Amino acid sequence: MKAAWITTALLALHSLSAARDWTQPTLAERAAEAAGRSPWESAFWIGLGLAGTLAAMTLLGLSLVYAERKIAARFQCRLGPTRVGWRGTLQTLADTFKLISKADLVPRDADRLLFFTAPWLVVSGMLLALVNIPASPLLFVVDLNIGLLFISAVGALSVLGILLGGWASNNKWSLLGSMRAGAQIISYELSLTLSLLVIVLFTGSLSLGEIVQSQQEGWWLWRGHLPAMVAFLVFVIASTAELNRTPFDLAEGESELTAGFHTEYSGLRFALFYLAEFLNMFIAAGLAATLFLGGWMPLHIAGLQTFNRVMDFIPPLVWFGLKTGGLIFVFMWLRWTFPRLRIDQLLKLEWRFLLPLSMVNLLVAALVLLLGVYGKGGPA
Amino acid sequence: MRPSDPFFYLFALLALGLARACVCSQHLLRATLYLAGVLFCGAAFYVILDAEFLAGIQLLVYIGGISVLLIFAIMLTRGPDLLKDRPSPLRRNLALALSLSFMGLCSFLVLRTDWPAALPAEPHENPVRDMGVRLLNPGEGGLLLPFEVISVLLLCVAIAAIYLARPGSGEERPLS
Amino acid sequence: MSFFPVGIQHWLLLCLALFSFGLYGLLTRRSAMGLLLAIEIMVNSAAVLVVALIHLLHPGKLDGQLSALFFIALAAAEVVLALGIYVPLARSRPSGDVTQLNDLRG
Repeated sequence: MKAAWITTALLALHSLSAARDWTQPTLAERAAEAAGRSPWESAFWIGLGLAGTLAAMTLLGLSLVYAERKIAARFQCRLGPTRVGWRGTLQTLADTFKLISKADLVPRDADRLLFFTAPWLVVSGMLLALVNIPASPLLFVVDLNIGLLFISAVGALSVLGILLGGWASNNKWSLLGSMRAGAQIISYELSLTLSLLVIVLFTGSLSLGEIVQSQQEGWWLWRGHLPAMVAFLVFVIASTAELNRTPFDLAEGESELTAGFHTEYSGLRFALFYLAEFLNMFIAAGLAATLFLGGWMPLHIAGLQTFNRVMDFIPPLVWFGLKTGGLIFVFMWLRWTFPRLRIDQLLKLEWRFLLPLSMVNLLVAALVLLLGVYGKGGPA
Repeated sequence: MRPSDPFFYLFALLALGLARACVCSQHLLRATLYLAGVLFCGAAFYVILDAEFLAGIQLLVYIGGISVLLIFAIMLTRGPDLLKDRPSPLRRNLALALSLSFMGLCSFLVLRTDWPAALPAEPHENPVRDMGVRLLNPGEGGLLLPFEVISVLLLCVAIAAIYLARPGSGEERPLS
Repeated sequence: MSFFPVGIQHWLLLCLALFSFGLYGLLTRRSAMGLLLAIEIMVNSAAVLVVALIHLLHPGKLDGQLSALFFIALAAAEVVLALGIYVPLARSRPSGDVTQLNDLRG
């Protein structure tokens, strides 16, 4: 009986990973291709993309919040949620229902229009970035030819939402929190973009699909030599700051500013801010996995044929999940280990250390590319 | 009718409404949000015109940079008078007459003129790479000189802005 | 002129309308920030028009996109400089009203 189950599971895994063809069309491409033939098929792919994105958003939001609570609890020698569902797995779902059923409070002197717009700006910025993340050749909603530029550009909508939300609440903590968040995000955007440029330089493309394809021979983290490793480190640090997570969580430092820019938000709008925060963490981790760790590509070691075969057997989605999950764990680990920085330390770290470092790093990457000293199989 | 045509009208209406709101709103911070909306529509226009890279740059620079900077400036200089901006009736009517007559004259000319027919769009192989090559090409059709000039200009602007905003310059006091 | 297909005249009229809104704002606003917003609308409409005309008249050429890139860079430089002047000024003066700034001495 048990053997039958194991065989079935292995067969299912194999059928998932059997399509070794990495160049599957994305959902958007399928929809465009079907548009001339039958509008219904096109609508089916579009609907699948939308439903999939929404489902992914909900599931990821729920599971990431649960993971954060459990991991935080373990770091602090606690148990975390245990009561609702098996080991507390349904706790976040229950909390979501609680948040939705809460009274929707708006401060009397708030600028109502901006107050209502702000959470939606943040969420739409997050969603527009989320659809670009390639989770597997079969689960890839849209592959823009300016993908990387697009992801960093729509991040701007979130900044706008945070600034306006903090200002519209008409509360000094919210205002201070949003100003801190804004200053922090625009500062760290610089070194974040410079570290992305290193990979753009190596692949010669902004499309995330092509960036993953280019790592068939090996992940950029290894193949890109020193510049890619430095860029990876800078990316992780800068995206921790972009996400306003400890040690860079001055924007919502609860001991100073209550809750920062979302102090005055309650109910559904607070839930939206919270969801966006966690999904932005997923996007940052997914982006790091895609750019530096090969995305859905399995781990290959040159010369070890059998090992590579076994690695090929694991479906791409699992690879992507493992890499992204690992990075998310690193983000949580950082959060529950380091103390918060002061604002001057934070700005000094960016302007005096990370920015010069990533500029020099970009130059070194260009040199590496020009002299052709990086691993075999690369472009040009 | 091309598939992009309905989107042209959708975003055109949105852009015009937002532009009107932007110049008429008495509340400066809201006007900035409307401006961000107009610029977002501008990015949509670039996508309709097959200039995706430009759309990305528009979002990155205008919404991520300029709008955020404007909001920061408004927040930093918050004063009761600063946030409200209401023109006098005379000023408003004069401005309305001037801009309407400008619009009318130009539309008259546009409608009278016999424009050449628009050519069908040609898909471009790799526009981003070609633009990069053009920008760094010193030879025929290359834009290396303007590119260098604008780089130097941006550097000058950055230095000038830091100098102007430096605490202790002018009458203004340091923040702390 | 019909609504479809969207051609040169449609783009011209759209950008003209946006530009006129900017002009209206430029003429009515008194605060420096409001003026800056109106100028941004005008610059943006001009950039869209350049891209649209090159796209429709010379398809496959990148000159429109390249000049729009320069437009965007120039607009960014202009805003940075304007704000660099405006923020210290607004701190030393109670209001950001540009009609009151008519003396050369600080």
